[in-house]
Amino acid sequence: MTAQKAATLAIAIAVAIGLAGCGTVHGSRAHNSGRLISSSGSHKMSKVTLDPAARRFMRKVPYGDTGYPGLDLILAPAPARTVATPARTVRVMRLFYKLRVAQAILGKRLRSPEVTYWIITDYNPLPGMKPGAKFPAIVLTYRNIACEAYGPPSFHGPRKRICTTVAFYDLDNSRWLGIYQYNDHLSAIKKT
Amino acid sequence: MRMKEREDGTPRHATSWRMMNVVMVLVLLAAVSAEQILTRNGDRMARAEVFDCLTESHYFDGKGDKTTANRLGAAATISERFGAVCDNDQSSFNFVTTWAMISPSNGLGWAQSGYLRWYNHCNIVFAQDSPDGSAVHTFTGTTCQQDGGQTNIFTESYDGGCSCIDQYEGGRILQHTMYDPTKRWSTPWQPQFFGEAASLSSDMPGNSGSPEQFTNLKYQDSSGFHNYPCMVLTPRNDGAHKRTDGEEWFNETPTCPNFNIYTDTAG
Repeated sequence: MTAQKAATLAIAIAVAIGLAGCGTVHGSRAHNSGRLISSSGSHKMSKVTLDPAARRFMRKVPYGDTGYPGLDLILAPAPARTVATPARTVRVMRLFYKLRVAQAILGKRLRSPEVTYWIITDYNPLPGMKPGAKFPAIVLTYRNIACEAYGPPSFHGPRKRICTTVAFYDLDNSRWLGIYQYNDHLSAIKKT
Repeated sequence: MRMKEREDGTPRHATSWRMMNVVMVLVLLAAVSAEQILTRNGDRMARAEVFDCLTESHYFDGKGDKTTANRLGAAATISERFGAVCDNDQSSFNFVTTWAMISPSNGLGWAQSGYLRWYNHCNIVFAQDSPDGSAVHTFTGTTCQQDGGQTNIFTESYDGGCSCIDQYEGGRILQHTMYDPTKRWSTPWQPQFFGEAASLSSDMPGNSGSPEQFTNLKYQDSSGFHNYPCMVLTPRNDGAHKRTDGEEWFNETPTCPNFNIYTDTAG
């Protein structure tokens, strides 16, 4: 697909989502929605200090991809042919808005996600999912969402946090993989 | 006037006798229907929360290990029960949760997994860990669980392969620590098994007839997982006093070391 067609597709999706009143699409090129999802902008491997466990995981993350060390999840840029159509994107987002867990976590911010398209290239297998399976995904990201530290009775510090909140949707199997919240910049790392 | 609803479906107050009468009839019908439904299901759930959340903090009902011998993990089978939360905070900060956890004794770090629900929500599975008590990483499932006493095993297991703690629901790793807790946490690490709520006006899940059960309690050390013997875990119940609605939280040990927590009429 030419860059012009890809750009047109991205604009079409953005317009559709805009008309549906639900969120924004990031990435001017649909074939590369390679935008880092992180609590504080882009982080290069060379600029962050990772624990050995996370460093081991990041070794298997290809350059240009984004790794979530705590989930063993890798996001690769999505080719244009795998990007969901505007109509499907809107359907997925409406499904999300109906999820009670999403309503509870996101409250009034529910309908203002950043929408991005990716290929998930690795993830802890869910029932029926083969290890190493690759599949297209829609990722909804919300920044500055209130979240809670549960923790043990012996923890006496403040319990409220401000988190980046990310929801992953498996387009092949039409299911949500889960919602992930974090408040540090090491939870989502783009390898550059 | 639109009235605020309680989680048990009863109104808080009425503005006139007429409204009061209508409400009384509706409540009666609702109560009869609810009674029939609950009786039919054989699962009379605790739905007795107090409307006003009052002072919100973190309150616990369950048991913890105060061992000075270092442990590496924890596991428990936890039943799924409904716990009503207070009503005038409808945000995600108004929650009730039950979990298994491993944490350092100073509380500055943890790894846990279990059930979680918020106001007007259903039970979901979740996992959370923290390297230091400041950063938190939380995974929440998106599927509503049941609340009829079904059970699930929640395990926090130190994994030497990744030098991390895997947080399980059944056989599925929900997430794992992206750091090596042996490098971050002080010792000793202590297993914990608790119900937790943001308000004492909320209910611990279950009631005396259908309590929230913690069974198959285990700890992990360097040689693997072991069943807890009796009389090792220390109970804690922050809600062991009569509330304004006449209910209180309970913490009972019918078959040691297994224990039940629930909310019911204060004894």
